[in-house]
Amino acid sequence: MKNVIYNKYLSYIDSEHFNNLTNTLIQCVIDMEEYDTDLAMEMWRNILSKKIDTLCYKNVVEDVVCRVFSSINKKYNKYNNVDYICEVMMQHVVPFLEKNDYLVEIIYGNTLNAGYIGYNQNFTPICLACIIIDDKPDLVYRIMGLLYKNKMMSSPNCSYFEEAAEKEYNIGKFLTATYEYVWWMLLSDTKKEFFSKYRISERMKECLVESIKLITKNKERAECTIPILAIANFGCRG
Amino acid sequence: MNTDVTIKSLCDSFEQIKNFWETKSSVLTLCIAEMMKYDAEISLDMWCYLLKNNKKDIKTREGSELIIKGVLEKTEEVLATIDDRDEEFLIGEYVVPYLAKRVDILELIYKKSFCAGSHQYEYMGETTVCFVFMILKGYSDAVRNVMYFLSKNTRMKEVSIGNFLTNSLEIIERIFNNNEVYYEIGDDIKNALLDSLAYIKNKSERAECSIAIMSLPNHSITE
Repeated sequence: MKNVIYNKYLSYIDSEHFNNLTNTLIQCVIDMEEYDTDLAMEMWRNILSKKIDTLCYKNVVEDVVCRVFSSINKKYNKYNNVDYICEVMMQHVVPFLEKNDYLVEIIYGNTLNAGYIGYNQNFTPICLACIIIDDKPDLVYRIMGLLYKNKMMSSPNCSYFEEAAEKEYNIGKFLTATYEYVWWMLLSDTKKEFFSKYRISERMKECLVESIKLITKNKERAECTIPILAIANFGCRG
Repeated sequence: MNTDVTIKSLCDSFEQIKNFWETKSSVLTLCIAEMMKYDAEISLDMWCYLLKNNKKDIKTREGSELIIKGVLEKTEEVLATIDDRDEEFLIGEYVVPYLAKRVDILELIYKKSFCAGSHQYEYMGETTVCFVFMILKGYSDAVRNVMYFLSKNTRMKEVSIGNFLTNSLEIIERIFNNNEVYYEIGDDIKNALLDSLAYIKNKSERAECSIAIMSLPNHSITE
């Protein structure tokens, strides 16, 4: 079955009709993940790199980024509810992000709003929150650098008004969402059992604060500083 | 990170984006909440700035949910990272002692906002909780101010002033009965509440509140 999936993928990935075959190719990734996660991620990476010029469009992001996260969540979410999504991301997504720098670069650096495009499409802030509390400062620093340079934060191509007053999924909102997931994982009663062993380490706090220096524009630095300080000072009294 | 440096960074960041509530509300809300850990007065100054400069928002249900309820909820969440107690107590301990003295903010919330920020389906709206702790902590001037402002609120469409007071007194009864913390209700508070009955035009609501006030014990029961 694995070979069937892979052959199907190979026949389409370089096809002249590639753009019309995106859904089928993504389905190949989802199907392959059952058999060989590493190969599935490589296939996904290749599809994303070929679609990189269109990752500024919300419908493309939904089809080629969010759909893969969503299918992994559905597969492993044993309680089949949104409460378990953080555990799924920590166990089944973060490990392959650690091994795939190019995937990280495309998603956090070259995708509309780093893939966070609506209320239920919050996989990328959750993954970042997981990586923070899993104490991987190098990866966090890398992702922060990519986010700050992502030219498609709050692109005019995204006008998804899921929440009434927030009209832009800008970097400040992305990092604030990340803080909220850090909070949820470390403090929520329903999360304590799984996440009790995780903390925000001192070196992670230093890394987060250090990353602020990567931002050159004043207003962007301001909107990033607030959530970053909130994460870095999590649990610290004044 | 050094506290003074953190405070300065938060203040500087707030200055940069304070006029962009429409698109930066989640970050600004977090800023106010985070600052409450370090300096409640600065935090309330920030909040006051936003309330004054977004008056059209506080007049609507959706707007007041974000700029009033949302700020208080986020503050509870952030304070929960440093204090294990129930969230309602956190507002009472960290926010109300300073909020009680801010007549400007009390006016914006209780006089100018939609339903004083507390809506029909909420038993324990955050603005109700603030009022409850003004009573429990003996801030009689603040209690009088809040009741006066509520009487002038022309946007109390879903929650009447009588219902607001009744809800508050029921919450106090519950807190008194849960044996956790000792509170006293002195005569100055009871008098402030009784004087406020004049603002309740509906006779049956006034009677109900009168009974509830007279029935308030002088202190909570603790083991």
